[in-house]
Amino acid sequence: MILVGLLGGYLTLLLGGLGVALLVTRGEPRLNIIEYCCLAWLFGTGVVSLLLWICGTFIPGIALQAIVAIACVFLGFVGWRVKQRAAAQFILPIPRGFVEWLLASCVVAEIATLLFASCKHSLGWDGLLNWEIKARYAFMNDGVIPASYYSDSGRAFSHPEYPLGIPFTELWLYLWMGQANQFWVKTIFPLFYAAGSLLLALLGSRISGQRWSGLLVAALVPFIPYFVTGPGGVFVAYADIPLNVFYLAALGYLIYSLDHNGTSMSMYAGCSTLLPWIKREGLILWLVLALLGLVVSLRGKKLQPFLLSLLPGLFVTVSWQIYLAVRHAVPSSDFSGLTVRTLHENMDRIVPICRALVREMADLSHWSIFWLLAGFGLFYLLVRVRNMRSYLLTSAILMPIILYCITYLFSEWPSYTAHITSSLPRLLLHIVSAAWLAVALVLPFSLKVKRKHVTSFSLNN
Amino acid sequence: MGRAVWENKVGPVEPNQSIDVYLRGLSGITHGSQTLSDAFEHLPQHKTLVIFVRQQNPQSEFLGMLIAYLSWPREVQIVNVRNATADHEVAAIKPSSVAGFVFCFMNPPPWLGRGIALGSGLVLVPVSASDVQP
Repeated sequence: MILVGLLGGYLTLLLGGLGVALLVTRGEPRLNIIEYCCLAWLFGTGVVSLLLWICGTFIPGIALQAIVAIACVFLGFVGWRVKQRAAAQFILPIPRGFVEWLLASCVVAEIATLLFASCKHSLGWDGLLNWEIKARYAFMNDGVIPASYYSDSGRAFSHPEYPLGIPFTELWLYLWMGQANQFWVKTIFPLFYAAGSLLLALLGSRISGQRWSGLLVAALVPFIPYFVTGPGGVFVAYADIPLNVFYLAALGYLIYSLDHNGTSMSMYAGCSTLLPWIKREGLILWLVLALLGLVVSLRGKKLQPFLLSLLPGLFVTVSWQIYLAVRHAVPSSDFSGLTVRTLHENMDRIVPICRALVREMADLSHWSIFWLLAGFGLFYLLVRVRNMRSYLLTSAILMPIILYCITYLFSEWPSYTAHITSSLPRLLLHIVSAAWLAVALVLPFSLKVKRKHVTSFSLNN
Repeated sequence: MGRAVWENKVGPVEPNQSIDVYLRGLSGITHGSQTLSDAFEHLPQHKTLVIFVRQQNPQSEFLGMLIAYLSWPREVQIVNVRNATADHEVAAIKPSSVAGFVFCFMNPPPWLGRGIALGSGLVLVPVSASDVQP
């Protein structure tokens, strides 16, 4: 029965997510089935967790589960009707040639391997004590986190102020399984990896114009040790990998919208809306993407739809803060207030922070040669390619790094360097896929230049 | 990634899989979630469980948090202790509102009486069975 429940939870979630994806992209004549499976997962987690939170404020228990399930089925039905009316067709992209088949097989094999291996590992420290704890307490209280939890100073270690995107996705499966099951709930995280990997392959292919390039970077992702096995990686069930996937999707569609008038901008809006709902740092990523979106919309003279697209993200962020205030949530003790005085007092931290950043990026046991590759990619984009895409991608990678580093100027930990050591590697995970996107864009460019160079060399000789 | 694929076995497929693995590793308790929940059930309801952990000792702090996780919905108070014993910290607590003291990788003060060893490095002292005065 547990497995049937788990299946029911996943199906309703995917149905709701697919409905949202079809509604967001209505009017598209050809729908890539792999892309829509990934989007169904991303939007499904967002829809289910938001609905559980909003509806749970008014109705607990089985009625809550029933309402959210009906909403998911309804969204799926409406989305399907919209697709049928637009006579849109699902298509399955088939790899062409040996290289594409090989790389696509690698991506699929890696996803299967990670799904299998994640069943061998426990939830990590934060996965258990920051995220799953909320799902369990809500499950024990008819699907609603008890009000006393938010103000419970004895359990402040579990960060009651963290948003509920991940815990309430876990809660949805718990409600369907009829028990809080720490084994089956782990399956969520390899699915985020799978969605991220496939979206990276798709968006990388579209942006670079070469399918092999997208497939190659997607196949290389699990070769970053920290991404898979590190604290924050796929196995430990933290929110960092999901945040990385939402950021990749939002950024990828934003860049794709530069040259295509389709529904990419709506996808960007949908994916970026959920960033602050996944993790607190998602707000920083949302702000970065909002700034980049502003640039793109001004360039395309589409300011009004862009401003409207910011509203859902603003709504999620503001309503969560209001909710925390109403619940008298224990405030976070990690950072002090953002005051000029604190900034001035802690300016001497800048050099050690930069040093720690460089040391972390150069740590081969964590990242292998990934940051070296990403660095070359960004350098190439800025020096050789120099177009809007390259500026957007570079900003989307550098701005979060800079902003994350600035936050340590306001660290309240007794040792801010311990704070950096403990959290910086996880923060870097958020932009890993975005950096792979930059590499995917550069690969065909650099090969073309090389080929031209070789051709002219051979002609001259 | 290769090591992560080969190491460990799949499962066990149990509701408290992760927390049980940690409790077994830290304290040697099998089916720790069930054992500890049963132990806390016998404590007076609506009273706080005070958990003492060693400062700068990640294992002790983590074990303390696991205890807090499991003792929901009971109120908990986690006390970080700098010294090897918690004499001052225990003496400072008003016993009337406390259901019991849990010591994670530290010994309870001798004058508190004998506690219940829940596992290696994990001692529960129910307040009703102790005279909380040095």
